[in-house]
Parts: sequence; structure tokens; C-alpha cells
Amino acid sequence: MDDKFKIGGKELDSRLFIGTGKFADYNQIPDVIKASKSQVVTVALRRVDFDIPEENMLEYLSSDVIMMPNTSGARNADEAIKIARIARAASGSNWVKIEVISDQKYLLPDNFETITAVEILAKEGFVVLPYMSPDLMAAKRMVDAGAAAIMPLGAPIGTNRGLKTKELVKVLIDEIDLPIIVDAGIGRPSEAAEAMEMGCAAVLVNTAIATADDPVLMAEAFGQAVECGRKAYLAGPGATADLAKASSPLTGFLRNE
Amino acid sequence: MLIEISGKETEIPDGSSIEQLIRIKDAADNIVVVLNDVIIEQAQWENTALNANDRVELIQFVAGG
Repeated sequence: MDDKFKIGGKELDSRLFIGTGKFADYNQIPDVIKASKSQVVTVALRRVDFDIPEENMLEYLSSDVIMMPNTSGARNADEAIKIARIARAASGSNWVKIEVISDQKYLLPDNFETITAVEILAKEGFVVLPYMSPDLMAAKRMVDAGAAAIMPLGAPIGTNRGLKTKELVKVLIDEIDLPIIVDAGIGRPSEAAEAMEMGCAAVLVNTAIATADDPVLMAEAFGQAVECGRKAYLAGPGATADLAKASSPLTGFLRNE
Repeated sequence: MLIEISGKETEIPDGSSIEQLIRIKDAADNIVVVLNDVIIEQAQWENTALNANDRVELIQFVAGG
């Protein structure tokens, strides 16, 4: 089945994006990416600390995946823009996930600052994927600002609580003419499948895979769930009904009816 | 001379270039150097001399979602 989708001029076969945070061992990451068949992988930027050296994520990513640096740590548009520019210089990739967060309790994104960052970075040629609270009017502003996709949260980051924002995400799918990618909150493959059945273009999963007992097996499960959900969406699920409708003939041969 | 590297005051030999700084600190090549808020492309590391009180940020990719 030829069902590619396009973002920033790139044709993608896989509709599962993977985050690299929280893995117990970076060595799991190449196997996770392979098992999931993901082609887009998020990374973050941090100062090199010579006292507490941290491994460079570039060592673990093959050149055939698209790196999508995030602007984690940015509390306003200016900081997100600064991080995005550094990320592009470092990676050569012009993809960026805008993440502007000043709420440390729920880590909910600041849609207003995000719109400003999208506008400036899109003009600079970035492929901008904003992480946002699923609000239709804010999403429309993101479209006007030049976003390449819209990434509404399903539940707060790292909570594994699933598609709590389902009704609002449905509105975005209906009204926004850009790929809708649920980012954050998806905790189980069934929830990823549900998002895809609704018509999301893709999902981004990190914590659910990284914190599973077997991250590689969970990555494979998510890959399959996303494919299943997508196929179900394309197949067009049948209508629901309040009352039963028999699937087998009820006129039997035991009684004269 | 004293410069600031990622927020920490650090003594390096006078007239060091960014390239030399990278070697002194035994840092990897796949990092970004930001000198006084300006990104310095890797091709310019050798030709870019550091001055006292410069602010250098060395930034790398780490895990993130």
C-alpha cells in the first residue's frame, strides 16, 4: 500500500516519530529506531559539561533518519529561536520541534510564544513542527505562521495517560489542513492506534517506549499499532448504533416464525 | 587568559584559537561553538582567535523527546 506522507519536502513511509529521552542505555536507541521503523527522531541540545560528561546523541543516530532537534528548555520565543539556530548549525537538519514551556508542573506549552517562534523560524527556512495545546484558533495561527505540521499533546509530557485531549484533537484534524501529529502523553500502542484511526497523520512517542520493560519490543509494537490505526482510518470504520443489529440471520429453523 | 566556557571561568593559553580550545578540553568535533552569542562554523574554528573575557558556549546533542 502506497501511503507516504510529506513534511518539509520529505516523503515518509513511517508515521511514528520517536523521542530519545529517558532510555536507560543509549545503546538501546539504534535498535529501538530499527524495530519501530521510525524515520524521524527527536533530540535535545545541552551545554557540554566537562565535569559530568554526557554522551553525544549523534553517535547513536544513523544518517538515514531525520533528526528533529527540540527547543526543550526554552521559556519564550526568543530562547526557542536561539536553540533552533544552534541546532541547525550542529545537525545540518532544518527540522525543529518548537517546545516553549514555562509551566514546570504540567509542562504545558505556551501557544502564544510558540506562534511567534514558528513565524520567525519558518521565514528562516526551518521545517517547523510546533508542540502545542490543542486549541483550534492557536493552530490556525500556527498554520498562518508557516508551520509544517501541528503537534497537539494527548496528555502532559511523560505521563503515559493517553489521548485525554481526544475531542480537541479531532477538531484540529477536521479543521486544519496540515498533518496533525499527536505528541506527548501516548502511553500504549492501542492509544497510538486510536489517534491514527481518528485521522492523525502521525504520532510522536518517547516515554512509553523508553520506560517499557523491553523498549525494543515496545517500539515494534508501536510501529505496528500506528500502521494498523492508519489502515483502519483509510478503510473507513463502519457506523456505530445504539441498538443491536444482528450479524447472523435470526430467522432460524427451530420454530415456525 | 581567562575566558568563560559554558558559564565557568577557565584559564587557557593566550591567543588560543577555538580549534585549540577544543583540543585542550578534549571535546568532540560534533559540537556547536557559540562565541559571544555568535555561532562559529566548524570551518572557522582554526581561524577564530579567542580573547580574554570571551564567552564560549560548547553545545552538543543529548537525548530528548
